[in-house]
Formats: sequence, C-alpha cells, structure tokens
Amino acid sequence: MIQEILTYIIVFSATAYAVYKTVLFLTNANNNSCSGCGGQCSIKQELAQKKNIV
Amino acid sequence: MKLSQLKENEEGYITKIKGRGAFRKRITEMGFVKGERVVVVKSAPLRDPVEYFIMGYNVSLRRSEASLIEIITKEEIANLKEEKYNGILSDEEIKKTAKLKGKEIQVALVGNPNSGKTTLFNHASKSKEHVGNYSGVTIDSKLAQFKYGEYKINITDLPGTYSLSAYSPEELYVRKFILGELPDIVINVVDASNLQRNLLLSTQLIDMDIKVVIALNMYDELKKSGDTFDYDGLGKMIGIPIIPTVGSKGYGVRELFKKVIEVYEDRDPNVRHVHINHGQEVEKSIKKLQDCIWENKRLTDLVSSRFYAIKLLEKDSAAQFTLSKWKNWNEIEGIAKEEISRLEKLMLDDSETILTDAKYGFIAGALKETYKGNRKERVRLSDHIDRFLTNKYLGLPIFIFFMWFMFQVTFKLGNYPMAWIETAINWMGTQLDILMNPGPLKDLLINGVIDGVGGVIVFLPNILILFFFISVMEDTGYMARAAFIMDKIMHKIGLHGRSFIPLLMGFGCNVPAIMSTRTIENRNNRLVTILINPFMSCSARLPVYVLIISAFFPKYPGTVLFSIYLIGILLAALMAIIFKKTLFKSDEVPFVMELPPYRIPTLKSTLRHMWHKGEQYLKKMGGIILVASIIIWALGYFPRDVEYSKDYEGIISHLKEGKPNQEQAPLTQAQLNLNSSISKKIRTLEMQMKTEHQANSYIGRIGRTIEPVMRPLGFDWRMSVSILSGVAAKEIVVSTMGVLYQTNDQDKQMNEKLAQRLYDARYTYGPLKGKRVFNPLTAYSFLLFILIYFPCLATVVAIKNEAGHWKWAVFSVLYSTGLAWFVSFVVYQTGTLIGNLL
Repeated sequence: MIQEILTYIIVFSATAYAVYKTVLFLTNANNNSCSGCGGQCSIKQELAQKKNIV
Repeated sequence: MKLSQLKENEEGYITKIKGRGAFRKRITEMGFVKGERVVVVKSAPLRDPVEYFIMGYNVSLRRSEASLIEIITKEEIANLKEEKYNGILSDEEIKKTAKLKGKEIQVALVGNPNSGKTTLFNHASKSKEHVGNYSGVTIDSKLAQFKYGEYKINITDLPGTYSLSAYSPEELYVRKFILGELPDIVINVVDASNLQRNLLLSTQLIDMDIKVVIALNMYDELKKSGDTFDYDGLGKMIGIPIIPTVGSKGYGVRELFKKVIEVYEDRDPNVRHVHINHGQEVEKSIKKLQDCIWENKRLTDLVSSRFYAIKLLEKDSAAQFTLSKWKNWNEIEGIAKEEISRLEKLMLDDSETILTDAKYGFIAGALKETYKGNRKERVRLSDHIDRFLTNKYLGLPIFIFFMWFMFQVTFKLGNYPMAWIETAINWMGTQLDILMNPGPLKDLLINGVIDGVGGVIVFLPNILILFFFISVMEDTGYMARAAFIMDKIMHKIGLHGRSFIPLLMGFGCNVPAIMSTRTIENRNNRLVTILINPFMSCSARLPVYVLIISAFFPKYPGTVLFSIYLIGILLAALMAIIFKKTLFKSDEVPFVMELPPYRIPTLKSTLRHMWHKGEQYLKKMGGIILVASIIIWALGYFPRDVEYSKDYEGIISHLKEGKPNQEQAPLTQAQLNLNSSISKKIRTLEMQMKTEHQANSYIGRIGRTIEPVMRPLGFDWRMSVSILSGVAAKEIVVSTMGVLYQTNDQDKQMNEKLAQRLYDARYTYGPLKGKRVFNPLTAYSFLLFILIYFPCLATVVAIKNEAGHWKWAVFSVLYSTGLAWFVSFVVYQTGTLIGNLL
C-alpha cells in the first residue's frame, strides 16, 4: 500500500514537473532569448548574470 | 537614475558624470561633481532647458545634458541602508553613499577576434564562458559583475571585431554598444603576438575620444619570442595606459583593473586624447566636417565630432544614417561628398583606403619607436607545422585521421570507466532487489530509475573524452586550421569557411552552434548553415551511438562511430548544395580566414571545458532524463488491468499446485525433473504475461500506433517509442530503451548490460515472432535515423529564434525527419535485399 502511494506521488510529481518545464520552455521560446537547451549554451548564463545585475 | 528624470523641487546627489570632452570639463567646472546635492528649480515653458540649484547658485542645463548626469535620491539611499536607517540621514552619510554609488564602473571589453577577450573576461569574472582558439567564439555580449576593493565592476564582453566600421553585424554591435551604452571604460584587448593589426581597432577607439585602457594580452608569447616592446612608451605616446596580461593564467588582471579604476577616477596623468594624424589633406577635410557637425551640440556631447567626420569620409553607412536625423544633415552630406571626391582625386585612391592607410602608418610609426621584433623562430615553428597540417594534399587526410583517432580513443579508453560505472549501477539494482519487497515502487526504482538513468550515466566517460579532444583541438588552434582546410570544400558547396565554425561547434551542442551563425553576414548563407547544423552529431547523440555500436559492432566500434559522424558531415554538404541551388541562391562573399599561431593549451582550460560539459550532462541526468524515465516507466506499467489472451495467473497457480512439495521429504529424481519442468513453464508464462502487458500498456499502445510507419525501416514498437521520446533530448532515447528492453528473468535483468539486452531482444508477436529485433543492418539504420531526424526541441527553438520565424523551425523538423526516414529506409531495404540475394 505504502509502495503504491509513493509510486503515485513520484509519477505525478514527475508528470507535473514535465508539464511545468514544457510551459516554461514554450514561454521562453516566444521571448526570443532562451532556447531552453538546459544550460548548454551561454545565453542562459548570460541571462542569469543580467538578472543579478538588475 | 538620471538627473533629467527629477521633477520640479525634487533633489538628488550626483554619482557619476557621463559624456565626454568639453562637456565633461564644463559640467565639472560648474560644480557637478560626485556627492554634490542638486535641486530642480524649474523647467522652461517647453520643458527645456531646466534650472538646477547646485553649490549655492542656479545653473540651467538642457535635458540632453542632464541625462548624462547620474544621481541618487534620498529615498534610494534610505533603501540601500534599510538595516541601519533610523529616519535621519546625515549630509555626510548621504555624500558618502552617493560617492560610493559612483564607484560602480561599467567596463566594456573590445578587441580583435581570438585576442583572448573571453579568457580575460572569464578570469576577471570567474565565469565559464566557452573559449576556443578560433575567431567568432563570442557571438553576443556577456555580462558579469565582480568587486575590486570598494569598486563594483560591471564588465561586458563584446564580440570580437577587427575595426569599428559598419560591415559586419559584430562591428555594428560593438559600435552601437559603445556609443549607446556609454561604458565608463573600454578595455581594448590587444593580442601581443599580432600588434600591428590589433592596434587598428585601438586607433578607432582613439578617434572616439573615450576612456580606454589597453590590455596587452598573451604578453608571455611576446616575451618568449624574444621581442622587446616598450608598451609603457607607446601608452604615453597614444595617451592610453597599456597593461601586459596573460588572460589564460590570470597574470596582470589585477593590475589591469587597478588601472581601470585609476583612469575612471582621472588619476592617471598619462591619459590624454591624441589625434591620429591622417595627413594634411585628410585633416583639412575632417576639420571642415567637424565644424559642421559641432552645430549639433546634443550629439557631440555624447560622441566625438572627429569620429563622425572620419566615418563620413570613410563612407560609413551607419554614421550617415545617424547624422541624417540631425538638422543640418544636408549641409554635412554635401561637404562630405565634396571632400571625399577631393581626396580621391588628389590621392587617386578610395577614401576609405586612404584613411586606413594613414592609420596603419600611424601604427607603424608608433611601433617602430617602441617595438623590436625577433619573432622569426615562433613564426617559423607555426609555419613549419602548418606546412604539414594544412598541406594541399595531406591536410584533409590528416584532419580525417585526427577525427577517426578521436572517436577510436573515445570508444576504447571510455570502455574501462564505463564498465566500472555499470558494475556500480548493477550493484545498486541488486541491493534494492534484496532490500525491498515486491511492489510498484521497487519496479519503478529498478526498472524505471536505475535502468533509465543508469543506462545513460554510463556514457559520461565517453562524453568527457570526446570533449577533451575537441577542447585540445580548439585551444591549440587546430580547429581554425580545420576550418581553413574545409574552406575550399565549403566553397564548393556554396558556403564559405566561416560557416564551418558553427558546424564544428555543432559537435558539442547544436543550440550555441546555431546561435553562432550570427557572424555570417549573408542571410541566405546563414539560413543554409542553420538548416544543415543539426546533421552535426551533438554530444547528446553520442550515448545512443555508443550503446548501439557496442552491442552490434564490437569489432570496429571507432570506425563505425566515425562513419556516422562522417555521414552527418556529408549529408550536411549535400543538403547545402541542394538548398543553395533551390531555396537560397546567393553570391559568394570574399572572406579572409585567419590562422592563429599554434598554442599549447593549458591543462586548466581543457579540464574546465571537460568539467563544464560533464556537469551539464550530470544535471541532465538529475532533471530531464530522470523525469522522462519515470514517465516512460509509468506509461509501460499502467494500466494494470489489461486483458490477456489467456488466464496466465490461473494457469500459473494451477501449475504451482502441481509442484511436488520440497519441504516434506527428499524428492526422487522423477519428482525433481517434474519440478524443474514446471518451474520452466511458469517462467515462460510469466515472461509471456509481462510482454503481453507491456504491449498493452499505454506506451505499448502508442508504440504500436506508430510502428507501421517505422516497420519498413526494421524498427519494432519499442525502438519507435524511443525515437519519439528522443524529441525532448536525444539522451532520452537510451533511457527509454533501458526501461523498455527488459529481460523477464529478474536475475539476468540485474546483471545484464543494456547492450546485451538489446542484442537478445526478440519479437513477441506478429509475423516476425521469435526473430531477433536487432541485427547489424537494423542497428545501422537506427543509428542513421537518430543522426538525421528531428533536432531536439531546444535546437528547434534556436532555429526559430535565429531564423526569425517559426516556418524555418517547422521546415527543419519536417525535412530532417523525412530525410531520416528515407535514408534509413533505403539502407535497410537495400541491405535486406542484398542479404537475401547472398
């Protein structure tokens, strides 16, 4: 029973995370700045740095 | 905030004076100095000028002038002091805060491509920007902030440029940044090993009359070559302090920023504005134009009239555009045309060439007095290596050999740590199997998380080794040679060598590679480079290649891997030819390709590059790969109540009842045989039940829906699902295979490598039932599909952003997936046909 509950929690959390990331990704896709490559490009770092300065 | 933003009766404290030359001097003399209180008295009826009260008297300034004075209000000071603020701010405290606020310096890094700007930037800001020994690494400006003593330094790394004309996007970008953002100090990074060419940009910065400090970078190379350079003398001569630095090792970086502060605070006695003498006739023309431009005071408060006059004589389109908005443009334009024609007739040359020649003359003169060259040996060494590596006949085979060698080592050397990681992952699985009771969570952890994430994480050593090689090739300068070698071939496919750099970068990740196409001026060439870039196998595809190759091509793994990369390059070339002949017809633009001297890469830089890549890979494991593995597992595990073709549970329990009881008495041989035969039957039934369940699960249904489309390529439904999941990120193909290709024998599952499980996988239904899913032909067809199909989502968005429209992203997705299907189909069907004939 506990195993089942934990499994459901993990699976739903993962799904929610995936949906959240997809929405975030699509929002970013439209603001013409970040492609959402997961930090592989330097732009993400640049944005983070800009944020720090502001 | 700016002084011009204050309303009537509001007050502020001066933190910084921007602007230049006469304006700066005049405004300071009027009492506008750091820490001084200024109050807005009133505005004129048309809101300009504005009367201000400062140092006990009233001064009137135009709004454009006031906008060059930065201030801080009492409220802002109170906010800054939130913790200590008790409602009262003493004058002394306010002045101190205003002065402190003025200690924030905006610094811009400019310099020639490959002069070491980014290395210097990284060192100063402790950042990890990518650095390579070829031009065009910086494709956008990058910002960082750090503290130096009580100063806060905001540093911007700008793209590399050879000059400040308006020919390339980088040049325009840098110019707009300097003129628009008005950085307090510009650090001009000069490559000490190539002074003459690097100093051309410095002469243009001198024309701009801004505060500059020169970082004489790679100074160690100059010293090593035996040259002597009196940089101090040159600095005094041109009125710009010069600080020797070695960006890669961090030498001189502290001194550089110390000097930046001194120049910012006007404490360096040697800083002055000099005029580069362009010769009597040119100077006459400049003066004539300047007189006219000076009438636009609001413009010349910001930008030097001499700079614009020179640019107009150079027929600079960006300068013409800026000045065309000012009132006496017609007059300025008339004089410019007249003077250009006079100079060209007089000197029988193009006006731009005349000015550039004059600048080079100035540089040559300055260097003659300060520089003594003894660089024959190093140049000879670089030349000597180049004679071999970029040889007309040997260049390409050597390049191909290096690539082949790189993949061979990636495979062979990577196998050892890979086996260690695999053992550790198997051990984890076994421990969980022993510790946990059967149930969904155990299944999720073992078959979902460990098989999914573990299946991908084993390839970390291969990724690190590949990046070690790429990093070494970039830092030594060999990559620039590779671009040089490929230049001729690139011309043959209608692109120029410059397009090769983004393609090379694509081996790492297609996203920054596509972004780096910004350095290509011609839009059609840029679009072609963007569209063919996904054929460069990015590092995310490497795990899929290594997995499939180690399972089906164990004899020649390096060669097969090399062939996949090579096919990617050839396909890119082929598509470029097709695109250039159909969609994007354009003329070639002449382009000079520079070859930086060979350098020994520092271990620190190589390791940092490797670690950066490894770090990203591990982050992906904990994020997208883990989430995808859980979701894929859940889609394969649910629903639990599928309809089976027979009552497996009933049959199994019936068989169990018929088993002789081992605990009662020692069993006879006949009973032992019966027991073993029943156990075997039960295992077979369990296997069939599990397979049938997986095929009827959610993921099975998805897979079987798309399977008919993929069947002509030799793919089963699990391969099809893996391909589908790889749309998010290519590594997910491996984690999905790890989850979907399970053996039904739990003991075997624990110890068997994913590669072995793929090898053993068989069809469980349909006409191919019982036959192996994979054979070398299917495997190769699968590898080709992974190479060519849908670039990952991040790449698609990058294509959209860089090409400026979704239609190109959609086009890229459709044509690449269509091409992947076609190529895999041809390879699989032709291979099968030949196999049948043989």
